[in-house]
Amino acid sequence: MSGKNMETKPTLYITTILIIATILASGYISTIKINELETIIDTQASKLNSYNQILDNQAEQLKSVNQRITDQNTILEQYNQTINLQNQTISHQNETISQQKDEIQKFKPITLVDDAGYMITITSYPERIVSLAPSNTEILFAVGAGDRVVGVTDWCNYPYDFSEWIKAGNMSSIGNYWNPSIEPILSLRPDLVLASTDSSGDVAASLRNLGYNVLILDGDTLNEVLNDVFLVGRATNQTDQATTLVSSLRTRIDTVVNTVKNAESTPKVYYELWNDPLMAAGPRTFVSDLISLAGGQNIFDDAASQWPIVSSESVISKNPDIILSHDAEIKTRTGWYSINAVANNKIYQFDDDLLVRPVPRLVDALENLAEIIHPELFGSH
Amino acid sequence: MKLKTKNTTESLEHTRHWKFWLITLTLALFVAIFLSLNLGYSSISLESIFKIFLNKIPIVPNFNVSELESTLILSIRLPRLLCAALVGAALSVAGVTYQGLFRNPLADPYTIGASAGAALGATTAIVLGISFTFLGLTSLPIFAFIGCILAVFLVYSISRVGTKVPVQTLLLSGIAVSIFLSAIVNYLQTIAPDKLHQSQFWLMGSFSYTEWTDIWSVVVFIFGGVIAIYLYSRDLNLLALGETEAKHLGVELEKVKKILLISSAFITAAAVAISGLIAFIGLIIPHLTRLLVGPDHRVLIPASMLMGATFLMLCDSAARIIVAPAELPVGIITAMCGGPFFLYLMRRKKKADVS
Repeated sequence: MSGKNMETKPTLYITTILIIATILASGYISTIKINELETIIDTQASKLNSYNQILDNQAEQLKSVNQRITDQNTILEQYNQTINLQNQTISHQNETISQQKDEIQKFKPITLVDDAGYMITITSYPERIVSLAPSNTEILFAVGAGDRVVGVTDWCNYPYDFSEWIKAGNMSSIGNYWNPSIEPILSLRPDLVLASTDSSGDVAASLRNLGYNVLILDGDTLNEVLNDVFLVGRATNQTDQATTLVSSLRTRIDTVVNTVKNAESTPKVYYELWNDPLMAAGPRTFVSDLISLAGGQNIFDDAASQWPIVSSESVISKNPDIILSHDAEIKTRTGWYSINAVANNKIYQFDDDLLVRPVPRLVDALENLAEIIHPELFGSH
Repeated sequence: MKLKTKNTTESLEHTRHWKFWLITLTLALFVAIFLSLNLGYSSISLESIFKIFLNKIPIVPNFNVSELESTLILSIRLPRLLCAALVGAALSVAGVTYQGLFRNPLADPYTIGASAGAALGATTAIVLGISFTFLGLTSLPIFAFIGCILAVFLVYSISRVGTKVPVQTLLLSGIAVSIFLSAIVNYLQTIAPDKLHQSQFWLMGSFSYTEWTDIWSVVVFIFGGVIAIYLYSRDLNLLALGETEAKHLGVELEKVKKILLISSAFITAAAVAISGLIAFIGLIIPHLTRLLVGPDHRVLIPASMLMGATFLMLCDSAARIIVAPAELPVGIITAMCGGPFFLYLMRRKKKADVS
């Protein structure tokens, strides 16, 4: 035993050192390798990062583009809304227009009988109306057809001073209301003419023969005047307004009539139309009717004609309690001092138009007369 | 009445120029027609007038004219001026006849009660409110016509002595009847003062509301009367010598007088019926025409017709434009022309008599 043991021990040591060296070397090499690999991994990682960044940027860009698209979509939507609104307005206006057209076309042909007994059929909305009497003009404006009147007489003065309109060129004059000339009327191309038998009967006949629509208004009593208002309303498609007006007028008339029923006396009234010669109001005049309705008595109700020429004597002997006259010197007339009205100073001035024209204002006159004749019932004048 | 040589020469001279005057007067008539169509509230140009008339002829192609102008010309102005022409001619011929019959330069168609009779008829219709239509005429012209005829008939009956009708008596009865009838007219106007305006307007004479029916209703009377009178124009010439002289020269005096009176009465009544009382036409026009064509009735009658028609047409146009858009009654215009002209005539005659 001695020789062989001595020979293996250094081999063991070398082997062990070699093994350990190998292990260390491999360990070292592995470490380097690992480092290398780590570096490669790092590089790859950083590459990935940068790729990620690029992707992120692109994602951001996409986002902003999307945002812009969304914004523009919003704007487009707003435009669409505006257009929709405008379309709505236009269709609304179209509706109104067609409604108005309907309104105008809705004017159904209407057949009327005027005060002279003539039957006329109005087939279209009257838009050019000519009035041949101041009373007709008043009624036209009262029922709301005034904006369609294109011609009036020189004597028309209510509800506006038409002479100013004529000067300004906004209205045409057809001349005198008595026996007017036909050419000025024709030149206005009227589609409805309102006439009156006494003053324009002849021209009305000529116009009728030429095919024009002519309505004759000849109201002689308060009732007939109210009917005329209604007639004009129907002829000009202002039925509603006319009906309202007539109702309110009737109510006012009824109020006066009912109040007057409580009167204890019927004062005698003298209405003087003209003082040279003395012209009074006779029967079948508005003046007479209104005086009766207001609770008075027209002293010349027994006269033979509508506007009799009376003598001073007859007035004195009839001894009226109230006098309606424009003469300021009436008290100085010979013998008139003995008249009740003069003695008690019950002399009143009156706007003649109110008492003579067949117009709604007659009801104003009625109320004024009632105040004068029965101040105890209606309050002092 | 002595035959003065000077007058004979004058008459012959006039008679020599009658063709010239008739043609001139006819031309004047046409000018007046176109003027009357042109003038009015709105002037219508000559071109439009021609177009409107040509449209009425069926074979000519239609022109473009405003409907308003067409209506104005054909339905308003044309009947109006034709009526004025008719009435002017009628009154002038009646005036010539009466001046020839009565041998009095102041005679006119209204002398023997015609105007008062017509006034009474018209005022009665207005005051009583009578209103009806007969043969296209309303009651007013019919009453005026009847009133006129009745008045003349009354005057004739009063003046008649057997079969004779002395001319002086006619004139005097005419005056008396006129005064009486006028008084009745005034009475009617007093008891109905609200109708005063209407009757006064009619009495002043106007062509304001003339329609074609007015013309057709009276044209027969007027033309009939004028033709009847013209047939006796030679007799009218002879009457100028004096009634007895005319009778000796072969004129059937009473028959001629009756026919002339009746014809003139109808002519006057027809004229007054459609236009009211238009003064001075029957008085001036015969004198005016006599100055131009001489006293021969064969020429005087047609010439006065033309002259009267022209004159009254122009007066009516003046009545339409002077106070437009209103109208004056045409009688005012004729009277305003007649008065001064009459004075002028008198002065000429005075000078001629003195010289």
